[in-house]
Amino acid sequence: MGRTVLVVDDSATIRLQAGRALSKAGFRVVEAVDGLDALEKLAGTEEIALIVCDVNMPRMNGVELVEALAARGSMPPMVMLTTEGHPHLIQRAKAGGARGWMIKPFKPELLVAAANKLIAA
Amino acid sequence: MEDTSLAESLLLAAVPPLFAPTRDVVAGERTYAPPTEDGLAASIGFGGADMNGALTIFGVPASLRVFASVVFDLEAEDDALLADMVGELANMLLGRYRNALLREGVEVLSATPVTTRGKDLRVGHGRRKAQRSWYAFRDESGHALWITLDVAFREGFVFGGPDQDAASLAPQEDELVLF
Repeated sequence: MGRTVLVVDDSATIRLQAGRALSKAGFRVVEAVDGLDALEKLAGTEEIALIVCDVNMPRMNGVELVEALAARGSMPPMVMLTTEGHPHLIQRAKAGGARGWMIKPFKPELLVAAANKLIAA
Repeated sequence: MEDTSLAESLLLAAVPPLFAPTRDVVAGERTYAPPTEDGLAASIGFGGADMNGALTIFGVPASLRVFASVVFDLEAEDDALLADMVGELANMLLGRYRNALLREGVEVLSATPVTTRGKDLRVGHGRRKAQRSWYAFRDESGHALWITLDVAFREGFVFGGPDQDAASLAPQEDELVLF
């Protein structure tokens, strides 16, 4: 199974931090700066095995991305990586098909463990 | 406790855990303006039915590099990345603050951070006249992170006390929940 992870965040810091943690664990990492950029990357030829996605982003936020992919009927496993903690938002993402929720700042080993678990599932 | 004081105390309580356990950061002096030397400020707005405002952090580059390396385990390779890190620090601090407010039954949404660099930086007051205090948080090496909160409340709003339901449902920082 492919091990390419799409990291979606408008913060270069988070893309770098998450990207380094995943790369060290053997994943190939592709980056997107918001939901619309993520959709463009997903339309490319590379098969994405997992999406790690922020919630608050310009143009298209993370929950909107979940819902857009759900509407298309095609969504790799998706973990939200965010400062958001409102239960209503979490439920909305879960209902859209997101597989997990992680609060920033995050432990790199937890992110890698989640990636391994969700890609293997 | 008067609402502005509670609003500030919730924010001040959210700061040390952001850097723990790697670095002890404690609240230090309180002033009416940050230092005038060259530094970076990141400001992020928030708003909801009961309150709105902005949180601003400030630091000199050397100190911000230290704090950023603690939180992100990254070195700021250039000024652009340092500015992004400072914005993300403000974002994470606001996230903790928002979760603290949620546990008090208050919901606010957040904007995206804006980072500025310069000397003698000043932050303008919001629409309502507000008395602003800057709080310096220092680590054991003396590096300082300055923080201020602008906040305005809906007329008649009073904090209602801890919301146990909200507190039990919201995930904790550093936590991973798989559905």
